[in-house]
Amino acid sequence: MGQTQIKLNALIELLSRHESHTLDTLRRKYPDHREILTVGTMMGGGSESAPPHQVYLDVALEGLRTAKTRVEPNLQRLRERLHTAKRIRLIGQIIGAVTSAGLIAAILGNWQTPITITTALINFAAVLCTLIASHLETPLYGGQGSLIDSFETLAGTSVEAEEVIQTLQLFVRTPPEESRILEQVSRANAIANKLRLAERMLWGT
Amino acid sequence: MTSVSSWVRTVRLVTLILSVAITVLFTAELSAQVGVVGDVIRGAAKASKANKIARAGRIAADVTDSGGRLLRRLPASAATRRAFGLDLTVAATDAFEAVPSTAGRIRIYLGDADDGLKFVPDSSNSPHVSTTSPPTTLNSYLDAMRSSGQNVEGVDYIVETDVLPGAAPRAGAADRLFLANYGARPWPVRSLGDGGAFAAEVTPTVWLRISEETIEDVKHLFDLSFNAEDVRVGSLFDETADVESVEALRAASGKTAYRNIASAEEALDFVGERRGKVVALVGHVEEQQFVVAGVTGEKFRVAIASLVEAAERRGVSLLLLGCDTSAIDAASGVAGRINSIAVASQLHKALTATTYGDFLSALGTPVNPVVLSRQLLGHAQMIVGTRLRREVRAQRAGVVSVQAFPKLARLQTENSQQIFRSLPYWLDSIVRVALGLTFWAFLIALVAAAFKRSWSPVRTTAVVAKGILLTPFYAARWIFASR
Repeated sequence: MGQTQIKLNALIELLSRHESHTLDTLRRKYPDHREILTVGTMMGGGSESAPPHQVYLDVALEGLRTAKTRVEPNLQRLRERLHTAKRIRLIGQIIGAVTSAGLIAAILGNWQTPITITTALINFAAVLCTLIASHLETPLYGGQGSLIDSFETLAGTSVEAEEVIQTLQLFVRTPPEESRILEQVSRANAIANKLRLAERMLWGT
Repeated sequence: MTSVSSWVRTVRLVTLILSVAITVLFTAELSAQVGVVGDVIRGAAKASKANKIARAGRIAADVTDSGGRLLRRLPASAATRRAFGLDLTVAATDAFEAVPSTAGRIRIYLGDADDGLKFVPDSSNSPHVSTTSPPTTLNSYLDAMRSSGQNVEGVDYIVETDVLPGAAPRAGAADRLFLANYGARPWPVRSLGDGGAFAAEVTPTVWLRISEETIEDVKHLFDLSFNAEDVRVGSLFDETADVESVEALRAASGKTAYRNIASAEEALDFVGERRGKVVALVGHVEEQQFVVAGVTGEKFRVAIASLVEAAERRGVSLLLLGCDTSAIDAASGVAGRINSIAVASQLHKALTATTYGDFLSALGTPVNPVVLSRQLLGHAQMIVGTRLRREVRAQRAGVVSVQAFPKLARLQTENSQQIFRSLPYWLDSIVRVALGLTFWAFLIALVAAAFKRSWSPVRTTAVVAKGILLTPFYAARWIFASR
């Protein structure tokens, strides 16, 4: 049973999307290993010349640095969105509370029809506000959970990326055995994958 | 009173037109039904004959002089050449005329004759060799050429399909092999790796795995009309780990049926799900297995042999789009290493093709050509035939067309086509069902009459049919009488 080649696709896609010049630099630096520096998946076993570990380390480090730079803007957008959602929800709930009491009074007190209808419409608008807030708090492009979960994922990604960067930098100075390098590179790819899925789910990009 | 009588006249006219229309449709449908029965009988009779003709091969062209005198007959295949007893030199002359300029290289045609492997050298080489006692073996011919000072290091061999396995090992590194293509440019022959298999370069992006009797098949395949509905695309990637590949392939498939396969069982089900389709499977291939890797490691793998078996059971043509899938004998695949995003882009272009030639050419690249196997060649004709029959059925349900009434005279058919092209679908269907039932009722009545030795079943059916056909007249008469 042949060993499946280590995956770099998420790191490469992240670089291609946000730091294409860095990816170009890597391609120029390793012209013999363009296959693994191409977006997508190579659909076969190991290439004729196995890439040196330095290629994996460079891709993982650059990818993780890009991932870290992507976390903050994503968190900022998320914060704004959650802030808006919270404000709309509060306004809706206040208006809803007031107008629902007013609506009961209007019906029981036999108020004039236009006043009753206007109160009902304002109450309806308040319900709509709550619905809009709920919409803003869920991912735009599918997926499970709320935006708060995504917020936690992104924040965790940043911390995890920093931890792997530290380890990989240590590996650059004093290379350990192959399996440890590949393990950390796989972890880096998984982090990039998590970020990329979160971006797709949140913004559809 | 005047307005009422004009209204009655209008109703009468409409009824008359409707009756005429129904009568014409009945005639047309009857003709079609008779045609179907006739076709079945004639088809069965012709089948064995057609089979024999197909097996015997065909003549690609007759070469005549200005006076129309037959100079030579070009065979369409090696089998044809032998079946018609044509001389090897005829095929060789044709191949030498069609082969591109060889810049002084020696050209030799190799074919099979009754007494073994025969060679025909290009006549332009002959001045170097004695014509009074020509060499009888290829080696002695090459020796004679060498002794006359001719360079024999780079020879172009044009070989017939059945002698290729024997001829290929003797070709040196500087020699070139071409497959005799009978009436067209010979196809360069490539090695498919260590297994000793060879492929012919049909186009720079489509190669053909060489086996007996495949040249005519591939030429025919290239001309067959292609519809994206003939294809189903399946990808074997993890939705989470290879999201960009899955999205690219989904987008590339467009309206073509597409599914990302999540387990080995689903892969087998997907291949065999619809009979008579081309199933293109895209995925990572290792050791003749599709391997699906997730974020943390391998998720599942499925043996290509089992997919081929499922495809064979259901009359499905497999197109394996993974690295070096051309090495797999039983299915068509791609030579070399390929990237999922590049394949998605090629697939997108290929699915807009109008012929199988365009489809396959767009799917491959000069670096990663598609290598065709007999499996695809064998099923493609059936796949296209099934689709065309379905299209004709759909056409028959909607409009009156030439194909629907093969037994009508052309003029008559075209007239009815003009008149009833815009016939409402529901009316057309009702009329067709009614008329079809009438026809078969008459047929059953005739059989019953033959058994009973009495015309009563036919008479009864005629009365019922008359009742159905004349209903509009009865209705009109009743309306007018009641006024």
